[in-house]
Amino acid sequence: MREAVIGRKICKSFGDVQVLQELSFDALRGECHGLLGPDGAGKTTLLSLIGCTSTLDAGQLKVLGMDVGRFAREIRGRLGVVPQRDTLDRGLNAIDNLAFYAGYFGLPRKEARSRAESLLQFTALEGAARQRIDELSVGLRRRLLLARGLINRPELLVLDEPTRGLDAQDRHAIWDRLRRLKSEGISMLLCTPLVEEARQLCDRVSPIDRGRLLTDGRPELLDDAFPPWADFCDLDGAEGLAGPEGVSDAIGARELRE
Amino acid sequence: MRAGLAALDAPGPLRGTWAVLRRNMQAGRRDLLASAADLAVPLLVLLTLGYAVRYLAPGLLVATALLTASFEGTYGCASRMGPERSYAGILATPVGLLEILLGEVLFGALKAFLATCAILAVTLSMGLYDSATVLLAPVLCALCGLLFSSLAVLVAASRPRPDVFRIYFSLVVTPMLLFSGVFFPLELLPGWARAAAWFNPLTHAAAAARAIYAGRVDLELAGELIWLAVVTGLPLLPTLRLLRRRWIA
Repeated sequence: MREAVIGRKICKSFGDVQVLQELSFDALRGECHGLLGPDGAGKTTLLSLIGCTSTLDAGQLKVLGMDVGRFAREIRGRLGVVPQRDTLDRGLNAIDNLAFYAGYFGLPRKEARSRAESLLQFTALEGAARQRIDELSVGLRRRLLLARGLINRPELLVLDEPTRGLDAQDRHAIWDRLRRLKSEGISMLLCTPLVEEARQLCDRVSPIDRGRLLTDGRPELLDDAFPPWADFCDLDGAEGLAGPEGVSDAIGARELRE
Repeated sequence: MRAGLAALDAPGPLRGTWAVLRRNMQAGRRDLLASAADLAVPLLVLLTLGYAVRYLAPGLLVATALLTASFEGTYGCASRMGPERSYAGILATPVGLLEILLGEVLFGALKAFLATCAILAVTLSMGLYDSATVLLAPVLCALCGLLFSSLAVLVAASRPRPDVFRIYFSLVVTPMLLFSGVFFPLELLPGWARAAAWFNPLTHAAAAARAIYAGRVDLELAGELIWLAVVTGLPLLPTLRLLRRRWIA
C-alpha cells in the first residue's frame, strides 16, 4: 500500500459550523505531505480525525491502511503525534515524559528508558533530562514534544504547526530534525500556515481553506501563487499578507493534479 | 492486513491502566508530604479523643478513606484532566478513556488505602480494638478506598470546575461524615435520618469497621461488604460516559 492516508469526502461539523466539507486527499508513504492553510481552515480538525481522537460525520478515512472507525486503537499505536498545544505531562520531568509515554504504547520499561535517552540526544535535550516541564523554554518544550511523538517509532508522524510561536533559531532546530527524519524515510503529515515551512520540508502540499482542499502539488508550484516573502501569517504568527481569498484565487484556478 | 494487525504492540486495557497508574504514582511523589499532612486531622482526633472514646477508632478509619479519596479524586483528578492537560497527551496513544478512568480510580484508592493503613497502625498500637479480626481491616480499607475514589472521580468527570468540588465537600462529604455513625451511634438520630443514613456508603463502611474491630465476623458484616462492593462499581459507567462526551468530539 503506497498511501499513508486516504481520505474521501470527509465531513465534520461542530454544532452548526461545518469545519470540513467533503474533503478528499491522499498522503503517500515516505513523503512529507503538507496541509497548508490559514487558522481556522480545518487543519487541526483533520489531524484529530487522523489521530482518532475525534470521529468523522461522513466520508471515509483510512490511516496506514486501516479504517479510523474500526481500528482507532491500532492506528494510534502506529502514529506519532506532535500536537500544536503543549500536552506534556506537568507531573513528570523531561525524560520521564518520554519514558512514561512509551508505557502507554505498551513498551517495556527498559526499552522505554533507552529510547527516551536516545531521543533526548536526537533533540539535543540531554542536559534537560531531569528538568521539570515548567522550567523548559518554549523551544525546548517543542523539541520534547517532537521526541515524545517519536517514542513508539511511528510509521506516520503527524505534526500540527510544530514551529508555531518559535523564534528563528528554535524553528531551524525543529526543521533540521524533521529533515533528518525525512531522510530516514518516515512518512509525515505537516500542518502549517507558513508557506516557507511547507517549501522547506514538504514533498507535496495540499492547500486547505475553509474546510476544503484546493489542490495538491509540489511545493515549487506555490512559488507563483506566493512570492517568497508572503505567508498566510508571517513567521511570528501575526496577521498574514495573503488572506484566504487570495489562496483560493491563486491556486484554486489551477488544475494541478488531474 | 489482518495478520499484520495482530502483531501490533497496542497494549490491552490492563497494561494501559497500569501505565496510567504508574504515571500518577511517579507524579505523586512530589506531593508525598502533602499527603502525609492529610493524616493530621484524623490522627489528632485519635490522639486527643481516642483513649477516652474508644468508639471513634473504627469510624475514623473509614472516614479517612472517604476524605483522602475524595480530595484525590476531585481536585487531583480534575487538574490532570484540565489545566495540566496530561490526558490530552495520553489520548493520542492506544491508551483510552477506560484505562485513564481505572487508573485514576485506582490511584485515589491507593492513596486512601495507605492513609487508612497509617490510621489502622495507630489504633492498633494504642490498643483500640477488641479482637484479632481487626487484622481483616486492610481488606475493608481497600474496598472503601475504591468506593470513595470512584464516587469522587464521577464528580470530577461531571464538572471540572473547582467550585463544584466545594459543593461536593460541603453538601455531600460532610453530611456523609455526620450521618454515618462514625462519631456517634445512629440510634441517637430520628427515624428519617436513620433511613437516609442507609443510603450513605460511609454508614456501611463504619458498621463493617466496627464489626471487625469488635470481632463480630458474621453475615451482617458480609452484607455490609457486599453493599459496599456493589456501590463501588456503580459510578464507573456514568463516569465513562461523561468522559467520552467531554473528550471525544
